[in-house]
Amino acid sequence: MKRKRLAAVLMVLVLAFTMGLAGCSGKSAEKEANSDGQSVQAASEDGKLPEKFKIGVVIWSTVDDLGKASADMLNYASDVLGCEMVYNTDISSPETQITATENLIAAGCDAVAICNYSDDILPKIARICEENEVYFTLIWRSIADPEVKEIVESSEFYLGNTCEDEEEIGYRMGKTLYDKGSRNIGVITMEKGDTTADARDRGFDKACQELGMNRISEVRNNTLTAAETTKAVENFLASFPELDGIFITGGSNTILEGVIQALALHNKTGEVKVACVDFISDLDKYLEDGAIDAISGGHFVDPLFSYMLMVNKLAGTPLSDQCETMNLNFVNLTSPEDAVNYYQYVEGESFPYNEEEIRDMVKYFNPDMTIDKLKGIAGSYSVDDVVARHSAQNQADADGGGQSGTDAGGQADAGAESDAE
Amino acid sequence: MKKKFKLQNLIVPIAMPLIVFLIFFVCQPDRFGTPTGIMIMLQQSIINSVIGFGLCYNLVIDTWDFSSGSQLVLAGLLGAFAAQYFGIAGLIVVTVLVSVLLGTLTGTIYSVFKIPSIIVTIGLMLVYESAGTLFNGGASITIPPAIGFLGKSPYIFGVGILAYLLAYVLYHHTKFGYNVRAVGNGEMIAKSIGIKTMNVRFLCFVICGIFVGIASILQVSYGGAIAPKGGMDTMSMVFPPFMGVFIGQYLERYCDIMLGVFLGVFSMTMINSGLIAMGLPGTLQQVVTGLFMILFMAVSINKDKLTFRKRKEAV
Repeated sequence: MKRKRLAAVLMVLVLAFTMGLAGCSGKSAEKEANSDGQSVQAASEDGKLPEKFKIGVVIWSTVDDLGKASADMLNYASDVLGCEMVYNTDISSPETQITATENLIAAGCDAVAICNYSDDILPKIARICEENEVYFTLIWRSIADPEVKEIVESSEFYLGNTCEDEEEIGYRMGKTLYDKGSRNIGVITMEKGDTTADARDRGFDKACQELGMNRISEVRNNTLTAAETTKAVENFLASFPELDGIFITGGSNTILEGVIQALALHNKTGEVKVACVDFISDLDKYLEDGAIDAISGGHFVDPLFSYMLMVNKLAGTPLSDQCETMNLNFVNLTSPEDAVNYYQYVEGESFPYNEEEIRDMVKYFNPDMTIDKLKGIAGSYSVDDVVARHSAQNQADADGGGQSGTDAGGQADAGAESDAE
Repeated sequence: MKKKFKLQNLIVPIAMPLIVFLIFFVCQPDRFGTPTGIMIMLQQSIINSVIGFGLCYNLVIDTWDFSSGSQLVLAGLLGAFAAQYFGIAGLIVVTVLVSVLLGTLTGTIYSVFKIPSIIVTIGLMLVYESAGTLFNGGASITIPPAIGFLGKSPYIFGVGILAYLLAYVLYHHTKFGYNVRAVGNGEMIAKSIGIKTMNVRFLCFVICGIFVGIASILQVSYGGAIAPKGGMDTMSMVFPPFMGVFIGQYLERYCDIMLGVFLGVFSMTMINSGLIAMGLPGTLQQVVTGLFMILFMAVSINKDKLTFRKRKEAV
């Protein structure tokens, strides 16, 4: 009896040891394949990464228009690559973002993407990530403070950031309002200290100074509802009969709907021009009604590029030895047709990058991928770019070709070339 | 017995809104105080006043309700969703029903577990906020313009007046209102005369739910859309009504408390509009609003002490 039990224990031990070895050898085989960069595709036939990496995201919300679209995009990419996403939206101030990052690390995240409210928290976050050996990136943000930038960029765990030219978009919105005849503008924005809103504000003020427009009044609130925004616009209208333009630095979360409602209530639709950053739903209808005169957004894909920096690093195929900045363009919609195309190809029913294009952004699957190519993909992002790639693909599918029309790599080449030019 | 008319009872309640009005009118005569502007400010005061009417019952008996903002948002989301299928009837019925149910839930948890109201309502605020973000995939809901007529003048005034009358009658002419005032004046005495104070507290949450429901209908109709909120964002929605109730409680010795709530909210709305009319930067606007609140509370709390001291000195 005793012998039998001993034999059983030995068998279990041997089996466990063998399985462990098999697991290790499997993993090392994959890593080997990665390092020579030749037979990586063969190493994972299911199209998934060798490990199920856990990626954390510190974001204000995953339910508003922008936050939800971004989370959907990241979830889709993670499904394709075999990663797991964890979101922490329990943030109400810069300080709570530090706690949120710690919580994600405690939850076992291998890398964390942070949409930071201000630069001040970044040295602390860098220290936390270093202590826990967790990679981190920034999304929708660049570091403005030179001292903070130096500290953060010196961290080996900081992989980079994806950002848009916020100041330029503020300027562009101001210029569009000027071109449409607006001279006296009310501004709806965030409280001071929000890096993005502040940059958009600066750009708008620059346009006001250069073009001779008046910023007649402003409302600052981080938690505006549609009704509160309607109130704010009504106050503008009551106090400033000369008001002929409204600039909204962030129109998601029903803020833009509130503006449109207020103007409709007072029969000012079309008379008071509206320029806004961030897309909302039903844009085609609003553009057709003339309720919106200039709108930029579509930057929900921003976190995807920071995500790719992290995934490539975790997969053992880093795209760069240093931190990198990925620049993304805003999408401008000027007509209802633009909006229809946007919702058909970019956000909504489909994603701007399909499964193959997402895998191609990862060196583990696509040995030709480089940081410049990834930057090229980000740099060439626009409605036209997505329509060109996916309408061709749809056409090919319809023709029964069964082959993907374009690949991210090829498109990245074009982007990289245009960058070089 | 006929009540003696006191001039003070007329002057004091209108003094504060009048002073606020005059300050901004003197500073910005061209921009502030136009007939259109006054109408807009009155209109904007309605929603917060209606919330204030509901919160008033709780605050009179020293019960804090921080969950009202999240109740308003969750009820509004469900109501706006129903409005897409059942029109205005769906909006009204579902919003009020949900809000009353949420008020009942809050009251039940409070009275069963006897947890301090601040803790219960903050905890439930988080629950209601999360429920709002889970509903309909967390998407915002826009109502068709034809349904939102209640948020426009003159309908919004009609609803506001009806809500005021309801609040007035409940507070002054019902047994419930009498019990609320009795508990507010001293819980021990109220208990000793046979009032079941915990029942009163429970009913206050339910009644508050009715007013929050009405406010939610107006909020959705006025803004034309409603979005879920998280991260305790809804808490800031109850501060203007709170302020209205504090002012109402102070003015209670001169006029009806519900009228005082409206005057308080109206004064706060005027400050908000006046600061925008002055073109002050947003950050400074908040500083001025905060200072006004502190100043008012400091004066109202210390006024009685000063009067008492003066009388003592005179004696």
